[in-house]
Amino acid sequence: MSSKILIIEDEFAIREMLTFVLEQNGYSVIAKESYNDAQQALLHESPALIILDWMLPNMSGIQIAKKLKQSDSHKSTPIIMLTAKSEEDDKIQGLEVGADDYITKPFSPKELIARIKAVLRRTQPTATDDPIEIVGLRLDPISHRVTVDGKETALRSNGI
Amino acid sequence: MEKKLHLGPMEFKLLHFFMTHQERVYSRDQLLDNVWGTNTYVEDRTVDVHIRRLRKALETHDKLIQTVRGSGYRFSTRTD
Repeated sequence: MSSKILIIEDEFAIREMLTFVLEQNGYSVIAKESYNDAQQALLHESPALIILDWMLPNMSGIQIAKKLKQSDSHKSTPIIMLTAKSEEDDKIQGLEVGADDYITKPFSPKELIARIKAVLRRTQPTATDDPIEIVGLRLDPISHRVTVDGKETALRSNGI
Repeated sequence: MEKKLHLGPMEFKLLHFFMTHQERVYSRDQLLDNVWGTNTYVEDRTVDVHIRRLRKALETHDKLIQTVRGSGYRFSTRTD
């Protein structure tokens, strides 16, 4: 199950680049150029994470982040701010309105992916693919296999 | 001995959620939001049905899924 990531970025080139990098890394991507444009996706797609550009026309990334963090349906959706600003004040402002992390342009795709993974790990442990084992009960998210002390109990996944 | 259980994917998702969120009580509404998704419209009693199936599937480990009266469900290795 790939995590869905919503990108709100007005610059076409960066939007395309982000989409490419994220898809390469197995995420499913919805790319929008403004908050208004992203409304439908926010309502119906429930993204696992939002990458939000700081400098957007009309409504800034900061305003959007604030709005999302105050809404019932998206207050727990992690946000990574994408910013050309590396000033300390700006970073603080971003984190204070509720952004979970930020990344400064220009950035390397590797760093971006690493940050996304870290944020997802922190905010929703179910989004990672690591097997979990508790008192002999083991669950492997990749193979969808549940085993008990070596004795396997396969939960059938239907529809696929 | 290997034993296969024939269950839908919902029990798997439910168990995955519980195993990554141990020792915390979740209401039916919270489970619906977290496991089924926020945009699904199912009755909260649906949760009970899947909990029941999940417990059955877990066989000897069924005590891990605990009912917290008046609140919801919890995944816990403690039985006190």
